[in-house]
Amino acid sequence: MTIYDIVTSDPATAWPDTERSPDYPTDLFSDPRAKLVAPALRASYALVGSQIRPGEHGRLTGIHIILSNGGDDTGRQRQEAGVLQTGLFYSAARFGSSKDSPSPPNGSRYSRPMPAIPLTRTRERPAPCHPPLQSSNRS
Amino acid sequence: MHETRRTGVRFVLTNPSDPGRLDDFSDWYDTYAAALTVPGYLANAFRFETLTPAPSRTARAT
Repeated sequence: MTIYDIVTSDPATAWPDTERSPDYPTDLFSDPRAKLVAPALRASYALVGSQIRPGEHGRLTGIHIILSNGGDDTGRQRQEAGVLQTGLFYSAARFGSSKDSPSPPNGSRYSRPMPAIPLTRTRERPAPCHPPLQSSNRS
Repeated sequence: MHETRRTGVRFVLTNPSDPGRLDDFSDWYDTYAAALTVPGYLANAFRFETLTPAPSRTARAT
């Protein structure tokens, strides 16, 4: 999993603008190793809730990502409500896989809770800013 | 070019098509992810991987 911080005033255009940029690393795709990458899910989350308020964005201090399969939307909504009631989260956004469902209801597919998958930072390369989580070298 | 305050996040799940070449996969993706910050719309790229491979086709999400 890779998480990118979006820093434009219009988060929705951050990725298309990146792809259209003359600095987009098109040349890297001529490397045969590029074929080793099999994307499973790509999504962007913008602070839409704070955008409708006057003034600046609220500060995003972190995100929590849950990947799940199966289940129904009712269960997911219930789970989402429970999470928000803790007061530790500002909002929840659900995304569906376009491969599994081209137009999922409510733009989302949800599921029964799944056990957390432990993740660790891969070895670091050039991240310009401070990492939000403790990192560890993979090898 | 742009402000440096985070206004959103983009997350990408990928798997290596050849698990036996994980180092090549990671080397390429590290380079690619870092290069994506050059245009200035994305400020950082943080990569994570599963600690324990899962038995499914998403065995290794990095």
